[in-house]
Amino acid sequence: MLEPAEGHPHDVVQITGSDLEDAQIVWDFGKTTQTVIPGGHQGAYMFSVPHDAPAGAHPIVLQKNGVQSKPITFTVSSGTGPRNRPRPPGGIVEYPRPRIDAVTIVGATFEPAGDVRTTLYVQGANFDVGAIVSIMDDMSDPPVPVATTSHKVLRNEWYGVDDDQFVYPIYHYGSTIAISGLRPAGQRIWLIVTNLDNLQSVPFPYDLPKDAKTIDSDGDNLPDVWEIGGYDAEGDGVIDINLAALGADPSRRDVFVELDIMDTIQSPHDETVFAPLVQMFESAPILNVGDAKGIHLVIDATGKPCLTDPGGQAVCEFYTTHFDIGGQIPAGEPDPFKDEFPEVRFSMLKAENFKRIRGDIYHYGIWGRHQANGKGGFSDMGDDFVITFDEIGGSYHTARSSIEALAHEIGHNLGLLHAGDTDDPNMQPNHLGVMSYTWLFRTALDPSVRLTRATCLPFYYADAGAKEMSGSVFPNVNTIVDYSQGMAKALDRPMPPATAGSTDICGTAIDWTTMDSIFKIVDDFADWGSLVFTGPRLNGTLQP
Amino acid sequence: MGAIALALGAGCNSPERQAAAAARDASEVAATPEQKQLWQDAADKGDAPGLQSVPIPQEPVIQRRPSQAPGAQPKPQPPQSVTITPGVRSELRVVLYPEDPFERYTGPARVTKVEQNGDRIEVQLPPGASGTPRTLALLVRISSSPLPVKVGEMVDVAYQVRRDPQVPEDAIGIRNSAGAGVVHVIQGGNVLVQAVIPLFGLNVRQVDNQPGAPVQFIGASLKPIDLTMGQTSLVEGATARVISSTVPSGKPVPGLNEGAPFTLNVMVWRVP
Repeated sequence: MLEPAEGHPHDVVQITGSDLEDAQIVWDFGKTTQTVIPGGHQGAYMFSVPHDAPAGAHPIVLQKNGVQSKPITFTVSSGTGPRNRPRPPGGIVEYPRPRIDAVTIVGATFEPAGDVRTTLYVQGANFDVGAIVSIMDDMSDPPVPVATTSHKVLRNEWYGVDDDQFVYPIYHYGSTIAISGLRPAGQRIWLIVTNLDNLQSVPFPYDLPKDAKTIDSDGDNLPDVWEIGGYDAEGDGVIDINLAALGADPSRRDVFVELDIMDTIQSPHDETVFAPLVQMFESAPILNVGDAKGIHLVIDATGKPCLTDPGGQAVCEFYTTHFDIGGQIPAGEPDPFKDEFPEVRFSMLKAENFKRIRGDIYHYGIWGRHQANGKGGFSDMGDDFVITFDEIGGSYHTARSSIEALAHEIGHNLGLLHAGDTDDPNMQPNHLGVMSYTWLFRTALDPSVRLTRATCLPFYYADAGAKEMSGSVFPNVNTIVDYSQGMAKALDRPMPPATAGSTDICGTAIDWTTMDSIFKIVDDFADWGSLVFTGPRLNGTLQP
Repeated sequence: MGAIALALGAGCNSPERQAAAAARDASEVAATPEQKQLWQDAADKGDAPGLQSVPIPQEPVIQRRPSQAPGAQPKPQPPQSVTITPGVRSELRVVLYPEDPFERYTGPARVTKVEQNGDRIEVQLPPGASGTPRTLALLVRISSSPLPVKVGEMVDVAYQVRRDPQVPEDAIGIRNSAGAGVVHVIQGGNVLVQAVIPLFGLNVRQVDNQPGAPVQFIGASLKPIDLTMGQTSLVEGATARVISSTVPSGKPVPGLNEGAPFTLNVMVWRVP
């Protein structure tokens, strides 16, 4: 059985049935165009509709050990629809090139001479089943194809948005297994993925592992030996953090966050917030070699940010928090036990409450009341953040706003800026994720402000029918939050005296007058594929 | 040669042999001669470590469908009931917002409830644009004392919350007929900030865009007073504190551009 049984070139079709292992797929069986097309890893589990397949019926058989199945028919559609804008090869609008988002390791063996063999897991957007990985030792070298097989496909969700809204429509994500061959350990290589239509991705840099002790298969900056055997913070042979017991997996990225929450916070700050946030990361468009999904986010919110007062009592609530980490100007020397309205430095609370042994593993966040600079949150772009929107308005006291605030600041800790790779514009309509101010706290905004912050509403509300009538919140609000995938079309800001330019996104009018940006052309950015996991080990910086 | 070396160095069911077998399986189903050969070479050379552990997915093709936790409450819900923590000397906090939280008001209001030993004060604001009465409740304590007010008494209140979460524009305060009270003002913008401090007849402004520069308090009968961040001083019979005054540091720093670059955060109070 084929699912779907009808579609367009490049569509991924799943095959279900028995005895698929070690079978091959024959396309156009019995026709002059008969050919074997690539299936999945070690079997005939899926295929991509050939890019040059004409509209009409195409008989398919599976063959194994010289025996062929009965033909089944796949029909290439001639019609168009929201997800199938014609994208013929060589046409004005082509099917998008593959894009590599991540390279991780399935297995590696190190040779005494300092070389390494690796089986790589290469994944990204719009990989055909049968896409081939090539490797270059240097950017100037010609790419050399390596043994490659497709492993999994994650079909993307568009919430009914028409594909003319996208400059880089992502139909699906795909993963492949690729063999690097024997190479010097630690060598930087460049990978390219070539789809069946010969369109190639841009080169993706990857540093091969240096040795067995430091290998980090999933690229989360937690070495495999920590994720499997535990983390010995002090080097005394005693395991201080049993990461495996916390669900760490060396083949899935893990993010650990300690979030200390002050007493008397009014906004939701319980499992109604943390569970959807964990699910947001699990739903990331990231494929893992095993069954585990997405990224594994662990939030330890069991603690409070406390200090002991001169009377020996624990105090776990402070009127104002000065986020003095990450370059903000220190505010004199606040004294939380003498100030009339107690003020405290973030660094003071961290020193007292964050276990030092967690430093290489965990991000540290404090959920407080006011922040000295009045902002609803802040991050050091590495391993520390503060959440402080509790008293900026009653409309913010929702699980959705709490999830958005946390996802936003954790996103900063993972290297994301408001427009993805830049901060300009921070209210980017086509950056379809919670890093943009068009998404952060959207449901809490004054309707007049919401009207000035256009975005693609079906993506924000994760609902094909989402609309905001006169700025009102769409009634079917849920708790699905996301980072951007880098799909949306570029916007062209009208610059006087010219009047031409982008006026809307997904039918929502753009108010350019409220957007403080130096750019005329505003591009989306792929957040998920750009996360940086170095923060905790580099102590608050993203680069060594 | 590579295959022989591999066979000598590995047992029958060693991971290396299993990986080589898996690479041969991949060669068997490869769709092109080139890929068949590459997989065969990988098998022969032992170049596919870990391949034997790659599972054949139960669901090779799945749909990305972000999900929400069951029971999650996305819509506004009443704030969790909070009280002033024992031992807290001073407090000012909104615990009940008017129906339209963004409609601002500064002026007289009638006290309708006094609860929690005087810590919680509820006032009725005049009807707003919708024509319905508006209720505001505050937790208030100043220097370990409740603000002395009685039900039915008129007080002055300031209620203003920001419309844009990234640009502070907040003023929350209450003052009784005897002049005791407290107000918290947070203001932000793209240029040097100046703000009205309601209920106390004061204005405050940033006068210099150098980090650490003082801010200036101005009153009707007051010679301008400069206070630096973290400084507390008497100003026209009340106590004023500059909690924070931020200006851009000059060189843009990635990640530190969270909302308005200029912010000013001050509190003014007068003890009962």
